[in-house]
Amino acid sequence: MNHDGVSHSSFDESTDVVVMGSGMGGLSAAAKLAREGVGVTLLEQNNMPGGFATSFRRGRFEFEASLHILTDYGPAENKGFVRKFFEDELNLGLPMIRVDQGYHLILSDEEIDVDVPFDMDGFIDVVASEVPGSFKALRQYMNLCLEIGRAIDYIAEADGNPDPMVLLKNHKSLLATAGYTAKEVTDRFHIPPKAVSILGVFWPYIGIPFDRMSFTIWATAINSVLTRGCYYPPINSFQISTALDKKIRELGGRTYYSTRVEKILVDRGKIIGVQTNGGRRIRADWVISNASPTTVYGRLIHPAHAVPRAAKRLTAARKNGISLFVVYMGLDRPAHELGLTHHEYYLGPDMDTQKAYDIGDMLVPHIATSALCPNHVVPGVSPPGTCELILNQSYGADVWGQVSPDDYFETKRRFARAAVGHVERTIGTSLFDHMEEIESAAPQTFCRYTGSHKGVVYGYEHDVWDSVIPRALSLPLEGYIKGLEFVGGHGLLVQGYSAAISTGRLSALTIMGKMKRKSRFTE
Amino acid sequence: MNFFEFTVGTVGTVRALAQRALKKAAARPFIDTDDPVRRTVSILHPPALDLVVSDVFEHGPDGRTFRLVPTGGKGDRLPPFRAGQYLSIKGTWGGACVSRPYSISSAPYEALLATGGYYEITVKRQSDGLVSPHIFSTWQKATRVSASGPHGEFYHEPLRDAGDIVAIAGGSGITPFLSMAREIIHGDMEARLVILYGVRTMDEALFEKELIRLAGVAPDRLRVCYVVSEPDGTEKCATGFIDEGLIKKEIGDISDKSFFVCGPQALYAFFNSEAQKLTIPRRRIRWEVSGPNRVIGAHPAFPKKATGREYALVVYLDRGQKTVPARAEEPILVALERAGIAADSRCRSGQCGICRAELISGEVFIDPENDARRRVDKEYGFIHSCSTYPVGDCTIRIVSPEVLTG
Repeated sequence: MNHDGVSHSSFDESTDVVVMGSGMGGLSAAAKLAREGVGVTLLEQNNMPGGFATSFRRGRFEFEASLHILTDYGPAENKGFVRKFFEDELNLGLPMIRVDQGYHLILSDEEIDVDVPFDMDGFIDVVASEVPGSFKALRQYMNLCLEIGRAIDYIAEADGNPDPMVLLKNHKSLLATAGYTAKEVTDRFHIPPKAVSILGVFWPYIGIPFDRMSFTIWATAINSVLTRGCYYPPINSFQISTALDKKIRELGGRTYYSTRVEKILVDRGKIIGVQTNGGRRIRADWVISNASPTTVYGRLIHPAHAVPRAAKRLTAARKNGISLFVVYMGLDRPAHELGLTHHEYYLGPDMDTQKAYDIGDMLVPHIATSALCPNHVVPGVSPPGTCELILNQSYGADVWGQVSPDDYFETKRRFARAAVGHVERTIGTSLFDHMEEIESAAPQTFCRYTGSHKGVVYGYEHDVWDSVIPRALSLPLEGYIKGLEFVGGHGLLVQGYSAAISTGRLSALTIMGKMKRKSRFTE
Repeated sequence: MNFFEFTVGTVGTVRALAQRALKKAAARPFIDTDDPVRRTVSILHPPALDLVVSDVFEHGPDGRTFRLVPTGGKGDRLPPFRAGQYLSIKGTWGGACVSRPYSISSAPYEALLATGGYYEITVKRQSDGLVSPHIFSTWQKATRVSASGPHGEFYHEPLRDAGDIVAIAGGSGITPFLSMAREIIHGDMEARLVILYGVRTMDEALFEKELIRLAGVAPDRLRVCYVVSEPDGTEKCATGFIDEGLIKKEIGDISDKSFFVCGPQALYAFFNSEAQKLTIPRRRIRWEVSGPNRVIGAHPAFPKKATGREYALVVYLDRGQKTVPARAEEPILVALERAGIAADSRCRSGQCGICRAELISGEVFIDPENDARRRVDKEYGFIHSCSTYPVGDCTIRIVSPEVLTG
């Protein structure tokens, strides 16, 4: 026994790296480590992989739980980092479908009803024709977004260790804008307000108001959607999870499902292993956590006093990102008969992101909705003669916590009724009359299946001070406990599928780099 | 100078902002782990429930209702449920780790009673069954029972279903409808319910008095119509089967009514063909999960070579492996249970997917009409062990229970 009361000899098995959680971040980290011959053991509390990247069945329908579009994949001639990783490094054998349809945006109070394509030139043309006089400013603005995108690509290609001189020389605009909000930078371009509203279609991916959103994140999101296009798995996101899960075992990694980490064992500031809900102890020098720092520092580190004060300080300073309320519908008519013409919709009164965000902190049904009708892109996603429609609304992390267990089902029903009714009226279609299946997911649902703190979907809010660059800055600081890394929505590149995949891969590289240094040191 | 030092130097603004945020947080440098969302989840969906039998009610020689309460007494609450949902009862009987789903026959409001909530499940003794004879011989007042939380999709959803429900019940399939009837009469469920209850003889009908009493309270909201298939001539109710003619006579206009079906497997096939004659839209029919097909060998697509055969099933667990015998006409799940492997399962009808396993090699039979696997699972070789039959030697990997018996 050492002074922390953790015995070094009482382990049931051992591995190089424990990956805790099988969301996109955890799966990608484990797959990368296994690919490089590092011993990896993946632990997941649910009985199957994926976290949010999953699907579920109701009657003869199967619903995608979370994915609307996959970015940073790209065409064969301009591969994004997700594609490079999946195809070239992992040989995952999972060809994606290109989403050749854009967004349908309806802002009823602003009288905007427009199809927004997912390519840069098409996007600018559409906005310019909707808003005369916006072309020049928009082009300049988009050029800046492209530059930011290239800089982020460079950082990703440098595996998180960019050469500062290259950054200074070639990617000045990244550093010049990193301290500013999306609103501050956008305002300087004097783009007509209506055009800015159309640009706003990308805000649901980020989920915090323009005047707090980091411009880096904003520009990166715009760039990745408009330059490399959007993709979708041939079936659904659970396919990515399943393919990665199988790949990890194929490459010699171990995967334990229905196994929850209850303690992360720390001795003298260093990870020494984990303890599962079944009481088994797995020895490891490294833990990659797909769970948030809030959960890890707040509940899992053992002994609790091993959490450094600085870690508590940073974790306490961060604000939980949004969660979602989602309605999944199986309809007994084909999409075109119901007038559902697009893969993705954004429906709202206007593009007042502050207002939309503030409403999200109240327990009232929302109007701002993003909707997914996957039938246009994914063949056979629902049985012949039917279609699916999935509605997303964002809520603050604390709102749904107010709902008592006894009111829970009725509250979900009330919110779902309002959301479906709103979409019926906005699109001018009939949904209730064709409802064959309906299910809704609240933060409670996400918490139940992913273990996410408060059911948060979007990690921490990436305020300007807590965005990509600042998180890169604080990465070494976050090594508060030696051997502990974070991936997923709470990691370097904030939330989203491609960001989680990338942080997973990067964390694997980081650990391998440290392992090498350590072994050199001890030799 | 490394990248981080460089960035610190360059992006002073960010640093200042971060400092400000951290300074603000320094006043409260503790991590707020309080999570009301998680608390709600643990009440709504506990991983397991420890219950105790508080009362037993007899329904003739072969039917028994067990009232189950939390072991912690009155202060301990039960998860709320929707009328029509079931509990999966788990236990070890004769060396086998087994689960069985039973519809909750009590009403949702009764689970939440401030004076002490309860669930009731009704078990019909099947003399050739593995579990029900054990329950009949061992469960009495004060018996401890291990169960899942309430599960299942067989409930009335006003956003989807019509306000007029027609229940098509057979035998012990009356139990979810009793729950609905009680909830409706208590005023906590806005719907009107007509129960068409098919039984062979009136002796077989469960809850006759209770249903008559409930219907008497509010005949506009609840009506029960018995349909006896083997009449002795003394019945005052309908005779024959719940067919097109009877439905037309008892229900009249079928438009804007939702049909809920629960009963023995024969009822499903029969009602399915009657529903087609009546042209009931698919979205207006809800089927309760039907349990494993007891005569899978009779399925026209079942490989004849496997009839009566037993195969070797290699089971990869998280740690180690085990080879167990598996009968072709029994689901793989049953082979696991017989071998004392506590594989997780719930609906036992191929629907819920809890028993998902990876088929590494071997030939299996899955009824294509009852294959509720997800598309990815079909593509990547995963099965639901409760509805998959081995028709050759097989190797599977299961999500392993941490504790093995036997």
